[in-house]
Amino acid sequence: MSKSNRLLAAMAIGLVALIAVAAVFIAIREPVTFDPGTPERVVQDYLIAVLDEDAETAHALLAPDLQARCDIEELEDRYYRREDNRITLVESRIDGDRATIEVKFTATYNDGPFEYSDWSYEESFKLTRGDGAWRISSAPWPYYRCPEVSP
Amino acid sequence: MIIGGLLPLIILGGIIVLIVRAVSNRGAGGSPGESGTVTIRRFFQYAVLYGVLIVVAIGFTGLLEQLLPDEGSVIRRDSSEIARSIAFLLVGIPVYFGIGAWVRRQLEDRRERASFGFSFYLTATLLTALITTAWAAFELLSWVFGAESYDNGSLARGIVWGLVWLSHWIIAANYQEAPRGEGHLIVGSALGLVGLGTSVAFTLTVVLNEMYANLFETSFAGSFGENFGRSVAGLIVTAAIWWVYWLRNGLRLERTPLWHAYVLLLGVLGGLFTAISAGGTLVYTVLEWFFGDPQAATASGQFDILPGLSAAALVGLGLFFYHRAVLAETEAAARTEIRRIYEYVISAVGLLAAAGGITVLFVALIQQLAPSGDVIAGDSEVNLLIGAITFLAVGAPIWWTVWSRIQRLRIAEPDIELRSPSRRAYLMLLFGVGGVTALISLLTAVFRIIEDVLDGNFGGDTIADMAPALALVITTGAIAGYHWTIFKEDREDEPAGLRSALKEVVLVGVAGDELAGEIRAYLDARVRVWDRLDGPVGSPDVAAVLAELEEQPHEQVMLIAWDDGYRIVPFTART
Repeated sequence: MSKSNRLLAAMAIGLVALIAVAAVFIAIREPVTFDPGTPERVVQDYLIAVLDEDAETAHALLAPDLQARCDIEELEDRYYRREDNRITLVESRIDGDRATIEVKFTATYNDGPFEYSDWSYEESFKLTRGDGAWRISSAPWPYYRCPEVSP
Repeated sequence: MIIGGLLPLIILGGIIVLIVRAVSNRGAGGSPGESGTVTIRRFFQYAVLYGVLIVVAIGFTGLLEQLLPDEGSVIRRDSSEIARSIAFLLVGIPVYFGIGAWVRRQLEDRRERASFGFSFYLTATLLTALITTAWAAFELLSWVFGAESYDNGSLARGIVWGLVWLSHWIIAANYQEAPRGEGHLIVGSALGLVGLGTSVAFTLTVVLNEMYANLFETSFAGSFGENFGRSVAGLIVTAAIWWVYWLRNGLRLERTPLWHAYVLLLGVLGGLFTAISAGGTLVYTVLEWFFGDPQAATASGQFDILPGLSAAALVGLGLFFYHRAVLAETEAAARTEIRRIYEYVISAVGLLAAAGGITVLFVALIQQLAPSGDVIAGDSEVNLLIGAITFLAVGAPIWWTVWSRIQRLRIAEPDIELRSPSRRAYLMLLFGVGGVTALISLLTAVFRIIEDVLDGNFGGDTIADMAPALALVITTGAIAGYHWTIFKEDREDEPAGLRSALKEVVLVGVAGDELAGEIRAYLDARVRVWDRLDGPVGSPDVAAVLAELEEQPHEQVMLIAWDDGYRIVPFTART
């Protein structure tokens, strides 16, 4: 076996080993679940519902006035599942009955065997507490076009 | 975007091919060309054949798509799609096989098999079929791994174009003459290599990103399986292409200029460039966090690009070391011109990276010295400086390591190294490009000064505004000046043979190739070898002939083997 072929074989083995270790590591890690009743948990439930195309659950997590303005059918049309494959918590700020949860969307996507792209962006979720429960109070991702209330 | 990014590499590749070709064929006589009519006939014949083949393949794909089961129930079939497919087949098949039968008869002639037209047809068809089949296979495998929904169009395209690829692969193996046959193998290898590199980087990014998120971030939600499935699909398809084209065939090809261009340009240079870019950005990200003004508020946000950069750097290093090993296996024990090209290419990459860093440092320095300059006051300038230092720290050691080795060899063996066309091309290119860039930058700087003087605005801001142009004048001017000095030193130390007036030598009735090779190497002259039909074949003393030719005041001479030795006759073409 020539030196270049030995090198190639070593690199292939290294790649497979690295992927295997990473896959095992990922498989044994339990996903983080926030405590019920916290603003983080509300945002988490909302995001999982959107990714699972469960518009009713997502809609139920909006504050009452937002629920009235935002159309459930529109949410169904705005599923954005494929490109956003990881959502992580950046920061959570709680001030009395108001909270802001910053999250980061990271998309890694290959559109064919010869190209791929990797990008990320941040979104902010605003929540208010009413009747003892946190609810999302401003039009959140991917539900931006809820009509404003007329003055 | 990919093509745009590769443009500088393609230009450099062209230069490498020209140099290697010049080295390989220096002095060889040209082959007689064929008439323009034959060339035009071939152009139309093969262009039409390729076009009709695509029409037929589209027809078959469309029809097969209608026949293969779809994911859902078919409510209504598109009659216009069926009609178009049948029309394409009814017209296309007779035309294709008619022209095909005619071409097949012509292929009995060896010149036709070795023609550029036939080679171009096979290369275009094989690559079209390869890319289409690869895409279809990727989509089907993504479906198998649960990352895509089933598409009967992918299956139809895969079957039809897979058969087109296979049939033309067999035609190429049976009919194509070397070295024309290398074209599609090298382009296919390049496609496979770029695809495999991309797929490996993507797969690594996907898994490392996931590990990073699990270790350093609080994961909310997201899917991993789909991307992993797609990345494995891409890995399988591109690895198969590279295995068939490169490992099974490309590695066994004759070491032609195109073969070396592939290994040097895509493998060595592409790998090194990727590794330096990714490694440099990685170092910059770390330095920015500790000394600069990081954009991210948290460490996990700042370093979340590490998985992608590490993947790119690993792939770049893998490409570089593998192709360096391949190159080393093809080399003779002695230092070859290919080895020199390899070293000059790496030296140029290192120099460009370092020069970029130095230019930015000069920009900052000039702006700082300008009377109203307030640079390095803002955090973004600190980031700029960190970027400059990073590129300088990455590029300078690479350049110095390789360049100092080249210069040591030049001092140790001037007779061999100074004959190198790669060395001359490298020096002239850096002098030329550096000089032109310095000149354009100088024009820009002077323009800004005159404009501000005429407007009555000349001051510190003028200096600050023209800082980039001034920095480029200094950096590229220094590069041009340094390489011009080296070029002049080379000319002064040039071996005597290279200063000879001789441009062309025709050897008549001289046995063997040794003398021709020595004249090419020692005198840098074009050599043609002719046989005598009437008389003796001589083997003149090589050293004596070289000494005599070196003193020749003429540009073209004929050396004719004679009964008592040889005669040297100067000649020139009649005008």
